[in-house]
Amino acid sequence: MELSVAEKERYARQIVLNGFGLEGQLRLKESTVYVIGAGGLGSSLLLYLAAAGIGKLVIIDGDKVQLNNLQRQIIFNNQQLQKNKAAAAKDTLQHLNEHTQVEVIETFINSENIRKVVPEGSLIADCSDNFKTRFLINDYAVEHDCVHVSAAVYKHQIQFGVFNYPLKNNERSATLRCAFPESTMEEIQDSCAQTGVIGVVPGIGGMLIAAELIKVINHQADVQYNKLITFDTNKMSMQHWQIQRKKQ
Amino acid sequence: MMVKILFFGALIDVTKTDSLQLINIAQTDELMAALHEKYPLLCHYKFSIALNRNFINNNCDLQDGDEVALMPPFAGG
Repeated sequence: MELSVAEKERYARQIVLNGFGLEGQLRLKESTVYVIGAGGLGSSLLLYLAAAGIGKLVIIDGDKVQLNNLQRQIIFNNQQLQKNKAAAAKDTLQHLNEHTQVEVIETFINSENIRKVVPEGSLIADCSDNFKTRFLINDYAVEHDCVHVSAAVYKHQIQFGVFNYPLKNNERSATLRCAFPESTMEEIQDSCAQTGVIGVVPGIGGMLIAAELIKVINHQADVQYNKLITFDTNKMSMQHWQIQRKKQ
Repeated sequence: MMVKILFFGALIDVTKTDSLQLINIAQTDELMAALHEKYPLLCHYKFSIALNRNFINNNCDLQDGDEVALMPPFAGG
């Protein structure tokens, strides 16, 4: 695989970075990211991953664009109301970067279909909005050697992390369930609809996932695994919380 | 001996603060009992505990200046 003259110009500002270069850009072009959820987190994530030149994005979402989504789900516009979110996101991304292939799966992920939709060893961006899906993705990632990069928001706070990342000793890093074991999985109604959110908060969450995914794809040494990272947009503070890998 | 406690997410709604300090608490189990007494609604929430920025699963001894965080998982997206 090679980069065209147009691609080299498009990505010039990241190709010039030390440690990134043409090799890093080719790694992005050769990569596929499975994005589960095209909402507030997914909007910014998809825009930045497509702009960065990820080769293929697979967007999985069964929801439709609603008027009250547009305050934070910035990948959509007024003309896309009532369209499927994955399909609407594809429309926007194709205008942003024709070099990124976008596949749309118009369904909600569940324990029945995840095996058919997400192949073994995939890179998964968890942009879902409920505990059931988050822990389904976590458990699938563990069982099928996927890297799972996840963010979630509550009001002005964000949690994010890189989970099940392959380590040099052939083991894997801590998972979301290592930080939040079974006993904390009760369904708590804290979605954005119930608690409220300023649109930029999930936007930042999606960008944090995108930043880590680009590092993961480029095998950078500073991938932030074995930790949960919290970001508070009121205090503009970021904190790291160490997680020990536990038996899954 | 003083310990700093940090609250995250929905727990801030329960306690109406994101941090407080308690004195003369020797262990994390004792701290949790004190917090449940001070904030009875905490019993409705599930959360993990981090001591000095490390998630813990068992009762741990506390030292002067330690920081204990009560961290519920978030789900919003």
